[in-house]
Amino acid sequence: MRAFKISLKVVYYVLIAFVLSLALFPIYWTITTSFKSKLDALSASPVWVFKPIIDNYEYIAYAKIAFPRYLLNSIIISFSAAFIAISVGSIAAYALARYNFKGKENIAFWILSTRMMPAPAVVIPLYILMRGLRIIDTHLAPILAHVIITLPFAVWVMRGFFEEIPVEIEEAAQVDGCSRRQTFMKIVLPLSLPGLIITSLFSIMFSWNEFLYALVLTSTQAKTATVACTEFRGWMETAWGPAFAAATITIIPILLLTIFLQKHLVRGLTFGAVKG
Amino acid sequence: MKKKTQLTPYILVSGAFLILFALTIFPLLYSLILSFHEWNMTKPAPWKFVGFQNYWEILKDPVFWRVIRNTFIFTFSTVSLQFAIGLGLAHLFNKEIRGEGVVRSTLVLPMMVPSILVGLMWLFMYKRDFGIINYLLGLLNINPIAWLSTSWNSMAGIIIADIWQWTPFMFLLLLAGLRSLPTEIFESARIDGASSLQIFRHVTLPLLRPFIAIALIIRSMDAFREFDKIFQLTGGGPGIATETISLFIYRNGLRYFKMGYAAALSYLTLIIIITVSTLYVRFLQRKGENN
Repeated sequence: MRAFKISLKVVYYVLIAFVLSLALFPIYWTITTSFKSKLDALSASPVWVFKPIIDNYEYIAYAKIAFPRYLLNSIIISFSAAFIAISVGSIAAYALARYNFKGKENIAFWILSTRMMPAPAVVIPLYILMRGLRIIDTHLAPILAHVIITLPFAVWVMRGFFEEIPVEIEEAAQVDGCSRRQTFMKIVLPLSLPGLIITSLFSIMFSWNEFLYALVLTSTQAKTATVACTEFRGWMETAWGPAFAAATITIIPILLLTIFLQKHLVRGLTFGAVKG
Repeated sequence: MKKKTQLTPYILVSGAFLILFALTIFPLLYSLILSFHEWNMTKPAPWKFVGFQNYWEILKDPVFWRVIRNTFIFTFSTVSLQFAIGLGLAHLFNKEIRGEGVVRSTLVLPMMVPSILVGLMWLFMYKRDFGIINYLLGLLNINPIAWLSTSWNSMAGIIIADIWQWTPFMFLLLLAGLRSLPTEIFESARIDGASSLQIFRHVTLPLLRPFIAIALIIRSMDAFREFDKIFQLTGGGPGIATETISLFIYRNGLRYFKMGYAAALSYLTLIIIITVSTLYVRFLQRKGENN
């Protein structure tokens, strides 16, 4: 019986190891391929042990590809899209969390529903309008488009975070003579700081990972990292090494963010519908 | 005084409201008008009013129906398989195991990778000559498969990549659901002599319902409008075998610049999406009332 139990445990752990390696393998393969020579990367039988080289990284940094610049674009765009979402969104979220007013739930659901828009349906009129405003291929174009994703997200998730702050604390502050505005700035914001950080990090990630808006609304100047990653496909062959070097650099910050956000993933990815 | 407090919340939400209005409703109103016109952006000719002709043309076009079929095949197969695998994994991991945190955060990594790069990774692994997938199949004595080259294995290819990326989402949500269930119910069911299968069907599944509903609705809506991976892996090909509604709109609007036609297409898509998201909203509202 004991032997049976032990072997059951072994099967269990083997199963878990199998699942984990399935989840991790494509990422591992991408990162290692970026350090391989072309010969090793495109070998018919996979090369497991090799001497890592950084040629692919040098290539995308120095050649006319100028990947660092697209990386910088991604940083500017994602941080701005997150900043707009947080600053405008948390104020709206506070109103939805703390005030009772007519049409409150309808407004809240309307805000959520804008997030459900299929990007291809929005991107075409957005492209025509932004072309008219002459902001295509500036940072502003993808920033505004990404706000469509980050702002409803910020409103919904921040609303949940505000609702978790006991209302008594705010009442006490108001009894002590704080105005509603002072209460918000001095009591509510500091108390919801973890929530604000989590919401910002998710917003940055959504913008960083986004592809279609960035593809349509930028061309050379404001191109983002995700768009640049797809441009290593030539007529005859794909430059897999450089493509994966670019992909690795694009993925690494996101994987690091995941470690920070680990406990909040359920909440973030369901728009606060499940508190996890 | 009372009037002032009434107005404050509206002022507070107005910022978010106006920004979203300008970025979504306004462009959509613009494209609603556009959808009744014929306009090719690359040509100097101005908008020409054509009434419902764009809509009529789309509904007559067999390509459109094939695209709708593809979209539903993709959505249905990815979401149902992700759900089945995710539920299995949630049960597998719903135990005290050593290093649980590490295991869990490793398992969720696929869904954090940008979709477009998931496409790039799988494109590389699917390659016929040097792709690792055919090599591994070879080790199992399976003949190499020409991935992404026929209708069926192209569809299979994009579905597999999507399952890899999004099963962790189902897993994570359903695990959170399982963890939230009170243990006493399971104990008393067991004392009453229920088998594991009976407990699963009559206790676990009904209690998990809210979690299952949220997981399925969010995933279905995202799968329905998926663009990045398909764009990268097959570009809708071969032919139109894997072309989904998002790629179809993109191709008509931003490749052929048939702006009126693409706008009409967007509206037809929007009608489908709104139907689905109304379900989502209804569900969330009902949940809010219960609390």
